[in-house]
Amino acid sequence: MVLLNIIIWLPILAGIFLLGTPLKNPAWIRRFALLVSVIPVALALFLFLRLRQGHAPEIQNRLWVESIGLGYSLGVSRISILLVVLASLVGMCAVLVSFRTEQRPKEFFGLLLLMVGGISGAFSSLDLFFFYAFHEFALIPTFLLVGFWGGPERRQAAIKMTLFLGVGSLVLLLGLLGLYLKSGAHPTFYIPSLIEHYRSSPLNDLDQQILFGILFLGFGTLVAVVPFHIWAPDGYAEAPPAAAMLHAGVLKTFGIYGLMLTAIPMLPEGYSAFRYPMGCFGVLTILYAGYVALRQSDLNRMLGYSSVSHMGYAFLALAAGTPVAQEGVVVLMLAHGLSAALGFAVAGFSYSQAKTREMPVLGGLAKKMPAAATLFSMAALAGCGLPGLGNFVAELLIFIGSFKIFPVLTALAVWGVVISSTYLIRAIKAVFLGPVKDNGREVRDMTWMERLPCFVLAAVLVWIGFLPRSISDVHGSHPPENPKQWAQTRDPSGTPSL
Amino acid sequence: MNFAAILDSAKERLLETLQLPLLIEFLLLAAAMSVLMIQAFFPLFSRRRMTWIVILSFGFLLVLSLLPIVRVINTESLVNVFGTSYRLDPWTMTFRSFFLLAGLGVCLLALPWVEHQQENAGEYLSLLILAVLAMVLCAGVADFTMLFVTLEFLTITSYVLVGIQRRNPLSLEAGIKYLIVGATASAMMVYGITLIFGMTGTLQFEAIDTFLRAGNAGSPMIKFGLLLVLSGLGFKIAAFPFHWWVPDVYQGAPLPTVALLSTGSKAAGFVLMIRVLHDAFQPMAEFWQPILGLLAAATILYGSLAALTQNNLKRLLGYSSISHSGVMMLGLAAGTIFGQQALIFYLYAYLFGVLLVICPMALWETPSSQHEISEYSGLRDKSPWLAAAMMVGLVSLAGIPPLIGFFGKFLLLIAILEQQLYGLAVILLIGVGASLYYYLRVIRALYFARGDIGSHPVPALHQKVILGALIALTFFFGLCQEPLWRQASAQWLDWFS
Repeated sequence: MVLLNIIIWLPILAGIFLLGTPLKNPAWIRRFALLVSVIPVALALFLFLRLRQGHAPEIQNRLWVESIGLGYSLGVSRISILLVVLASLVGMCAVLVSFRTEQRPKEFFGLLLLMVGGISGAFSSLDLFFFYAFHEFALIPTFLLVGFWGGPERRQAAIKMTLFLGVGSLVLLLGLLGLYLKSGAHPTFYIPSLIEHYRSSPLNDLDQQILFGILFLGFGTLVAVVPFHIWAPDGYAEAPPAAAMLHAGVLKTFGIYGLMLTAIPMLPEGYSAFRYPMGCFGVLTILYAGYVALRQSDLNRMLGYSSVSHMGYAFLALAAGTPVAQEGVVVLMLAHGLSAALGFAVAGFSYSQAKTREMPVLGGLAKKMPAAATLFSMAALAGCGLPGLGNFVAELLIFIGSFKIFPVLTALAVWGVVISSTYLIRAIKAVFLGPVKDNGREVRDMTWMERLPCFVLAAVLVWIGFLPRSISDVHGSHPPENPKQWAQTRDPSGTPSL
Repeated sequence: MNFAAILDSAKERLLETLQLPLLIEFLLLAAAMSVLMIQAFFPLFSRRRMTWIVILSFGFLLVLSLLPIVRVINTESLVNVFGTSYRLDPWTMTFRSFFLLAGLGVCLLALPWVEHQQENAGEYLSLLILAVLAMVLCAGVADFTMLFVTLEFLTITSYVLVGIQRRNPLSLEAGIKYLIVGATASAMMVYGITLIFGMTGTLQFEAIDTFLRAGNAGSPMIKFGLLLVLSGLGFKIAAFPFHWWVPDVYQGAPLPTVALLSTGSKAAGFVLMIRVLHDAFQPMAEFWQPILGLLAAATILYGSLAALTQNNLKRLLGYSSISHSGVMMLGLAAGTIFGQQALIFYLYAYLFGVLLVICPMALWETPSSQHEISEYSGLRDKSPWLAAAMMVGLVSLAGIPPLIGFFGKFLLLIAILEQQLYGLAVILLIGVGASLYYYLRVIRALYFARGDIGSHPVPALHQKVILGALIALTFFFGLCQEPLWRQASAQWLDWFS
């Protein structure tokens, strides 16, 4: 598992090096950051291809603090490898998007690299402690990036994010410790052993329901499920594009991934008790955040609400729990990550040119920046669920998979597609179409260097839209029909392969 | 006699000396006396050089205390010293290293303070060593006489350390407040000890334990006595409702003293609590556990809520220190060995955090400093090193991974959840949430605010090295917790060999 360690620790060490180095030349710093962010992409893709060819996932498990059963364990399943690829890919694009950052580039790229490494670590940890600690480790640079390099209201946004996510993670910690302490006479933090333990000797129903509730609350706050979403739109509106891309696109899905990795397989009774509420929260998130997005005049805030709203589908699908819906969650995490990153990247560019994010003041930018307009439209259309782009596949799978279980909720959720089409297409019209207004006179289009990361993201989005099999066909163990049996068909010796 | 034989006998002598039971304690005493003597007979001896000598001797003693040969004792027959009133067991040794580390850290921060302090530098240093000696003695207390003597020793040296700047009215006020509070606490404690002695007929912890196990655990007089003793110790660790001296004393006392009070002195209070509760009153656990739980909850809530609105950094540290005391008391309220081990780990984490916050304050201090948070606005632009060290310290105290403070809270949370004390866990989380907010306010001032700071000393290279080493340790122990956890849980016997 040397590769996985490099994917995690190379960016972290490079980030620490950048923060501490007396090096001043911005050109070298940028090149260094880019180099460091490209290597994990290559390695993650290599690991992904190996898994696709049918190699068994390798696991590293080393005892860390022996007396309390804490270990440093890494390993990827067919889901988490995709998220690691996504994290390093979006990380590379984030470095490219902010390549020309002039304000303290050394610290900026240093923090960005720390964040990338932390995210990869969270998705590849198989030990509850490091699973939690890596996520938290990735959050700190996020707060700092928002607080220093953000927009005009950055301070409030950063403080709000810190408090909400901080408290949310604490609740999560409580739940995870609950899972640890209930795991027998010699409690362990090792996730596969925990799953095995809870499969052979499940907790009583009440304990399961309480623990599931706590975990749902914690993970839910991290994914910004309504009504714990208050931090998200402000945070994303003020964040520098790179931080918004990484957090909205990748780090946020940690909550969904965490539910799939810990709560659902370990607490089947808790899960079945919370299925309906979870679906309701999902639909509430889709509709409420969607309606609020309709009323936004600030482009980035609208994108923020849109991102919140799209995560609702994932909760609906998790609640339904059918294999098709579950497949949809995986595709959704990827497609949403790519489209949100693309959207924030282009919105950040248009803000840097037009100096405003207010949609009513903008207009006609497509005449001045056709490339940006095209790329933004791709992100927006992906959000609308246009066939041919990744999000369509995800939403279709989720609707088909959930309809059998929750017909009413799914019918309501479909309405979310209509809402998001309305605000996203309105945004395209307001910002890029129509006559050029005052703010749009002095702007230029993206340079090739700025287009490159957006092209990469858009290309992968189209790839998933047309060939979803390429990501779902890894290590082909499909989950069984009955969601209650999820926990029973895991490879006992190895990685939880959801 | 050939050379090899001389070498052998010298080696043997050295080993014998190293295994003397109170070697380190006597060396500390010798150091304190030497500093006093140097001050008296060579008044022109450079203060700076003297501080360095003290730092080096603390470092030497710390290394000595960690040496396996010094620590290896026969665990079956615990080494008793002074009759049965003092004993050397693994936890005495663990705490001894902790106190020496705290003394080393406090001396490092005293360096800039001693330099621009006009008078009393020599006395200050020797009292500092004596205070550390008192704490080291607290670690091995095995009866109530010894407890009272060591505690008074510590308290009396602390009075002087608090009020040493006798031309500064704030410092004098702090000294007098601390004196009155301390005297009251001692009086309550003596009263409690007499009650316990009257009922049990002994002052020895082990004898009390045997007496209670014989079916006498229900006596109301013993309970009352224990409550009074706990109150006396509660003053030392600043537990609610005996906390109210903290903000004023912290505000008035010199910075090194603040560091000593909030780390060493607090730890001494905790080790005495562990000794009393675990060695003597374990059979009455059902009585004191809920009381400690309630006090811990009240302490956390009070400290966190009061810290929310503070504008003075020293007072903020005072209130947050109250809140941290509450968090540590959770380890006692859990009533398990694991809880006590978690508490010791937390003490280490807290030591590193406090040093990282106070070191930059000491380096940044000018004679006119009031330590308002606004004085630190925009510190990042003036001195990125100090700002970074302070931020790491605050973040660690707030308990965010991968820093060491997080793992301390993590262990305590496990300890209380293990005992199904869910209410206390929620209170702990509330405290952590509040601490996120008030520490963040300071970080915001350091990094986000712009302020006109005026002229301040710039940290020299060796100070940067010290800060860098502290930051590195905070990260290292946050990620590789095993060495420190072994130290805290006194599992080192098999580790060194």
